[in-house]
Amino acid sequence: MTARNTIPRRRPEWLAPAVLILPAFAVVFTIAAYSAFSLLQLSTVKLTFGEPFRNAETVGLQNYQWLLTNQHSTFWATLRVTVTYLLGTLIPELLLGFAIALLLNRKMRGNSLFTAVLVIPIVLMPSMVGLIGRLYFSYDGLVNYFFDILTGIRHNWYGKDLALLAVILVDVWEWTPFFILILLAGLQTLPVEPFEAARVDGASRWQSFTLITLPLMLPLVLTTLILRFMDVLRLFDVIFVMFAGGPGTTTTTLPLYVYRTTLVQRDVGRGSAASVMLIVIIVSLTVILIKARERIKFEA
Amino acid sequence: MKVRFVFVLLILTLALSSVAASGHDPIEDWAAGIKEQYGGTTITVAVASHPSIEAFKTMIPRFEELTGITVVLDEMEEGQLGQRRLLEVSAESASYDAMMTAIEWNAHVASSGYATPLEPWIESDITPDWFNYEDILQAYRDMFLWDDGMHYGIPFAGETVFMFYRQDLFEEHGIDVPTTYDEVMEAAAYFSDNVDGVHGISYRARLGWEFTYMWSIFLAPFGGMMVDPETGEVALDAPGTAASLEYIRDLWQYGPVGVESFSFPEAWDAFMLGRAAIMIEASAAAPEVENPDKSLVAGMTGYSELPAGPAGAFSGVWGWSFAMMDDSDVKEATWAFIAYLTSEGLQDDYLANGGIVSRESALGDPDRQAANPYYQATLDALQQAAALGELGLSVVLPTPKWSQVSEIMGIEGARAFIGEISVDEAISSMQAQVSEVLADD
Repeated sequence: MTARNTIPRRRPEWLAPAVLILPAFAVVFTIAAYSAFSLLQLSTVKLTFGEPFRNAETVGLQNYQWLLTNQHSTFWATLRVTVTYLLGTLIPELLLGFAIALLLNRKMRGNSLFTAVLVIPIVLMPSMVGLIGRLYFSYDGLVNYFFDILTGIRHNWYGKDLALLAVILVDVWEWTPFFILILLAGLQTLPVEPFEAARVDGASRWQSFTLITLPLMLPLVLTTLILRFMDVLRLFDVIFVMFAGGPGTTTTTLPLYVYRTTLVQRDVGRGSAASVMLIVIIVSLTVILIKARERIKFEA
Repeated sequence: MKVRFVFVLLILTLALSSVAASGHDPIEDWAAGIKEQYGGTTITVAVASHPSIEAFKTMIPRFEELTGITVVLDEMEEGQLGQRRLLEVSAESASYDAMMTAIEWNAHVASSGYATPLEPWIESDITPDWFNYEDILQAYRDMFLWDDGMHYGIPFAGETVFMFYRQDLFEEHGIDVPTTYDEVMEAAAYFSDNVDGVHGISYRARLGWEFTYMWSIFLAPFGGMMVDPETGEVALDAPGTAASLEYIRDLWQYGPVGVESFSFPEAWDAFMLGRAAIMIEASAAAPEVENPDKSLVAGMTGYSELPAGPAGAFSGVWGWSFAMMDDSDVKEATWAFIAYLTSEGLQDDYLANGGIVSRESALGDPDRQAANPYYQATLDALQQAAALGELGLSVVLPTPKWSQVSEIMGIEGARAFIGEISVDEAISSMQAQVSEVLADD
């Protein structure tokens, strides 16, 4: 009897993790794919929300055509408001967040207390934030109280000229701490050596910041931006509670437009088409930002 | 002699107590019959947060105790309840036995078969004599009337719109209460210009249904309309529609700063804090205005029917009801629940606990009128609403697609109100969009 000398065949390394991930992946993928498919399908029908789904009538791309070209559609106006809101929130939040993170990165008394306080706006319920915003920005509210003391003038934040600025300021108040916390965590993990070397070489603080801190932090900055960017484009509660998209359509962003069209005006087809376009915008811009982040990371 | 007198008194007392205890309380008698047949049943009712629901909540434990029927209330915010209704009709299934429905939803729940017609139930043996359906104001009953001549809801909280004014300021400045909209404009201008810290008028103008709600009151007095009652065609481009929109836009300058974003609580607050001389608002605001814990103008406010425009004086009606779902397996118990809570027999309990009045016996009662100075204005405004109905017009179109129409008017009207587009552009846009929506009706 001779023992057979066999070499056990090695399983590929990716197999075990793939098998473990597969169930969760399958569930998530199926739900996401089904939802996306249903949404696409709904965007090509004429259906009033509240009628049985069997009443849906296929109309091809007419819903998209109406949204993009019809003279009564406010889609483009809504898109303009959305872009203004996006830039108006992300840029100040990033700049303020970075500046405060740099300040907090120094050793100062009360840092930890201040950091803890920063979390409060983030953990508040969005509808509560909207309600606070609505009260603070009313004509007799807290914001005008300080404006009155400082400048002797009170503003109409509920009016068409300042309503969008009011919701932007509320967003900045609520979400700047998010940038601060993430960027502060990033700053605290930066290696010390390059900064010491720069100091020995006689680099100024500004040079250290622009030539070392910024390039090292850029991937994290972009990651934070991507997270917030996706969030801002989906934001609904705060604006809804503050102004419901008004006055006129001055604060109607795309998510509000989707809500009003689908659930209030009950036009499932046009609401779904607007929703598809919103998703396309979010996904395309996110992919661009992720690519940029990877390139920067690679170069760094 | 004295002992005999005490003895007779004792016998009399015992006799009276035994008569009282022999069970001639009609409510308890009725409930005993219901308990025998339907005791042990559980019913599920969807409701929105509302003062009348708070009143019902205090009455339900006694109903459960008397009838043995268990009531499960699923309470949610008004918008959520509206969406729940839409989802249930879409899915063609009802998970409730009864639902609180607004006038705006009646056409939808009736035409879809989601709710059941109530006439057979009103006339059924289950209905107690002390329910008295006819005592509910006809204007409110008819809010829940559908094309088939049947009613699909029992109203319990009716609402109309009238004018609130600061009696003290009007008397102090020697100004007569306005009876026309031109006089309203003049009075509003006077108070804005001459009384420190007081604006002329307060009303709601928030984008969407709130704008439509407010604007719809001004439509008919200026000759405007949504649908021509003779042809059935969309008639938002009637000249009076533009005139009414222009009027409320002009009135805006005399309102508190920020009116263009005011929801109804802010419009009410402005008046209750003494910052507006006039308010054109829902009758539901009146109990708040007269509540000294909440209002600085309690006891100083006068109430009047709405002024006349060039085409007449009109108001409108809105309100809430209980509808019964057609798919319910426990309709008898559900109807007993609806009839009990909305009955005339339980009206005192209901009103004492903050329920909104909707019955003639309460609004016409001189004692109650003296205690509630706005009752007469409510009755007058309901006459004005009836006058609107006689023209074949209403503030809520009886169509399942009302929410779409209301939203289109509320967006385009609000855009014109703040000058984002011109009044003509708004009218032309809403005429086209509403025609498209109602084309399949």
